[in-house]
Amino acid sequence: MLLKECLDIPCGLRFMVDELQLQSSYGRSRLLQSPFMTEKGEIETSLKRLGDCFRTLYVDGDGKASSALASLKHRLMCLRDISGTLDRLGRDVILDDVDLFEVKYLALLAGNVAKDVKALGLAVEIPDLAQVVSILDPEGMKIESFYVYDAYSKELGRIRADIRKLQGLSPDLKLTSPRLLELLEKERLVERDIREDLSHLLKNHLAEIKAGMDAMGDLDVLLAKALQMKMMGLCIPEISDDSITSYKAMFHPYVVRKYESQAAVGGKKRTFMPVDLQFGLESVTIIGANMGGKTVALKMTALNQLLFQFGFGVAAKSAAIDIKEDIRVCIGDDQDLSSGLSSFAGEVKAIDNVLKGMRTGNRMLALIDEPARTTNPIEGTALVTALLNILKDKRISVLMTTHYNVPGDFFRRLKVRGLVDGKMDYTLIETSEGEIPHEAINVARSLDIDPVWLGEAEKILNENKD
Amino acid sequence: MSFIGQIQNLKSLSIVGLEKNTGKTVCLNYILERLPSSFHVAVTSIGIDGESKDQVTGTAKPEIILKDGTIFSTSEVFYARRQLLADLLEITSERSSLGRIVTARVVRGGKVMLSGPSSAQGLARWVQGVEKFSPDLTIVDGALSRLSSASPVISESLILTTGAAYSADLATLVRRTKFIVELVRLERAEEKFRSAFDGREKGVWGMDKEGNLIDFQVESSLAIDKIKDDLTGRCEAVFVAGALTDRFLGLISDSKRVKEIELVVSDFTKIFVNEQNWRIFLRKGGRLRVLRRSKLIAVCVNPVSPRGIVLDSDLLCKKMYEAVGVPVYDIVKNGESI
Repeated sequence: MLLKECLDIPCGLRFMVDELQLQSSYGRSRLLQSPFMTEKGEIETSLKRLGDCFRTLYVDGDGKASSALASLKHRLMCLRDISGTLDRLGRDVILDDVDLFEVKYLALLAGNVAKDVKALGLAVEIPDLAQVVSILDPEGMKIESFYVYDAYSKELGRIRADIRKLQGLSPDLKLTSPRLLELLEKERLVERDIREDLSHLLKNHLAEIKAGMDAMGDLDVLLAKALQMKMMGLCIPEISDDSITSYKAMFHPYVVRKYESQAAVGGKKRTFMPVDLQFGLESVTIIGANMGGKTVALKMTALNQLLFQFGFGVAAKSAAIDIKEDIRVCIGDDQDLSSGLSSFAGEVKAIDNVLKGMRTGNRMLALIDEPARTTNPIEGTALVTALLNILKDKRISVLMTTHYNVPGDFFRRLKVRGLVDGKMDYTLIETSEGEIPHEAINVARSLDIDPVWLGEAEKILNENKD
Repeated sequence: MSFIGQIQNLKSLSIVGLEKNTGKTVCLNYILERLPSSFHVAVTSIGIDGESKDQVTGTAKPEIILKDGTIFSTSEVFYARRQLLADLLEITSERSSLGRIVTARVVRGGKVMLSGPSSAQGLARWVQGVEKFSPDLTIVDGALSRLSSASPVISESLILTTGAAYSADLATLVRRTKFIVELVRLERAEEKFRSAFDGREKGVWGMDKEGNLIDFQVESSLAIDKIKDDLTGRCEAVFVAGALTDRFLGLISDSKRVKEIELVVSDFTKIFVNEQNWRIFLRKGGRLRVLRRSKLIAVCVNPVSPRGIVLDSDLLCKKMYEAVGVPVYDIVKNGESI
C-alpha cells in the first residue's frame, strides 16, 4: 500500500499531504511513492529521523539556523527528477549535452545540499557525488554549466583552435570552405567519442547518482514533515509493544484549521476540544449525542494511524500506537452517490470490505461509522450486533459509532459525555449496556431549529413514556 | 543617435513582424551582428504553438546567427541541431512542443534556430529568469499572430517590421501600418486612472468623478450584454482588463458622452478592433489610453514580397516616415548607412 493509494481514505490524509510545504516535485513523488510501513524497525528509524530533524531545527536550533534552512530549501527547489536521463544511461545510450548538464547539475547540487545539511547539524546522509562532478567538470570550475570542454582532449583543443583561426571573429560560418567543413566534421566526431566515454564513466556511478537524487527528495519530505509538526503541533508517537493504542489529547488538524479560518473571517469562535482515546485488539462502540464528535473521533484515529505508519508527526499531545498491517475505513461520504449506489448499498459494501480484510488474518484497524444507519432500527440493530459478533476475538481493533442499542458484553462501550450546561463536552467515557443518550432534540434546539416541530416531538416522546 | 546606438540604451526589446516575410529575421540578425561584442544580449523567440504544420517540416523558425558570449534560449530539439559551440547554463521550467526550453551561452559563434516559451506569460518569465546571467539587453523575437509577445509586460521597447508581404499596394501598406503604429503609440492614461486600474486582470471597471471605482461585474468585455446600465453615464474613465473588442468600442462610440470618457486598456496588445471602427471612434472624439506603453524604436520595411512584388524602397521609407513619425529603415538596401 503506497501513500498515493491512501489519499482518498475519508479521514483527512489528503489535507495533510497538501499542506506539506515541499520544495520539489521530486520530493512530492518520493512522498507519494512511500509505503505504508509495517516493520517496527523501519517505523522506528523513520520516526527517529523526523524527531531528530524537528528537534535540531525547531527545538534546539537558534536564530542562526533559519538562514541556513532557507538556503537549503532554496537548493531543494532546484532538485529535478532526472530519472529519464538515468534510465537512458542505464541502457547504454550516449548522453547528449542536455543530459550531461542535468547529471552535473544534480551532482553539484548534492554537494551543496550536503554542506547545508552539515551546517544545520542534521543527521542526514547525502551521497557524495564529487567523482561525478569531476567527470563533468574537467577544469574544476564548479560552475553549473556544461559543454564538451577543450580540456577533455588535446585533439579537440587543436581542432577548435584551427576552426577559430579559419572562422575569425565572424560568427557567420563560411561553410563553403572545404577545410572548415572538414574540421567541423572532425570536431563533431571527437565530441561524440568524448560523450560516449563520459557516458560509460558515469554509468559506473549510476547507483550513487540515483541514491543522491532520492536522498535529496527524501530530505525535502523530511523537512516538510518537520515543519508541519511545528505548524500543526504534531508529536512523535511511541510504538506500542502491548497491542494497546493510546492517544492523549488527540485532535484533527483539518477541523482545527477550519475553526481558525472561520474565526479569522469574523465567524463564530470555536476551539477544538482534544480527546483521549485508548483501545487494544478489541471492539469498541462509541455512542453519544449527535454532533458529539463521534465521526471526527473515528477520522482522527484513522488519520493518526496512517500518519504514524507513513512516518509523519501525529496529531495528539502524545501517543503510543500499535502497528497495524491493514486499515479499513467505512465513513460515509458523497462517494456512494457518485458511484451510483444507494447509501445503504454503498455502506454494506464497505462493511463487506472490512470483513474481507478480517478474513486475511491481518492485524487490522477497522473504523466503521454508524453501520446500517440508513435502514430501519430493528434490522439495523440486528446487522450491527451480528457484525460485532463476527469481529470479536479477532486480532483486529474495531472502533464503531452507532445510535443503536446493541445488547451484549463482548465489546467495550464508550460514550461522548454530551451536552453539559448546554455546551458539548466531547470527552469519551466508559459506559455500560443500555445507556443510549437521548439528546437529539436538545442538540437540535441548540441549533435554533423550528421550536414547534421539536416541541411536538418531545410531546410524542413523553406520551410514549407514559 | 544611430539605430544601433539607440538599441544599446535599451534593457529589453521585442521585434514583431506584421506579416511573414517582412524581414523580421533579417532585422534581428542585423541588430545582433552590429551590436559591439562587449555588449551582451540574451535572445529568444516565441515558441511554436501546438500542431502547426511548420513544426512537421521543421522550417518554421529561421536560423539566427549568434556571436560569442550571446545568451540564447531555445527548445531541446533545436538545441541539438545547433551549429555553434555553446555552454549550457540552465534547463528552464518552461516546456514547449519541441521539448524543454534550455538556456546557453555561445562559446563559438554560429547558427541556431530559436524557439522559446510559447506564451506571453512564459516570455515574461523568461525575461525575468535570464536576468541572473546579467545580459545588457534581452531581445524577444515575437510573432505576428501573437502580438502579445510584444507586450510592454515583456519588453519596454519594440521594433515593427512590415513590407510588401503585408500589402502589395504602397498606400494601403502605409495606411495599415500606420494604424498599428497609432495603437502602439497610444498615450498613457492619467495617473489617477493608472493607479486605480493597474493590477486588475479581469473584468470591466469604471471610475466616477469623485474617484470611486465601479465594478461592472463582468468577466470580460465579451460579456457586455450583461451590463444593463449605461456604463458611460456616471464614469470619467472605463477600463477593460482583457481584450478590447469592436463591440465594446462601438458601445463607447455610440454613447453621447463619448468625448467625456477616457477608455483605458492595459496595453496595445489587448486591442482587437478593426481600423474602420477605430476611425469612427476617433472622429466622434473618443480617447483611448493605455496603462503601459511600449516604446516604438523603429519600423523596418521590406519592399520585396515573396510573390515577386517590389515596391520603391525610397518612396516607401519616405511615405512611411511621414505617416508614422518614427525612423523607418530598409535594412537590406540601406543597412550600411543607418
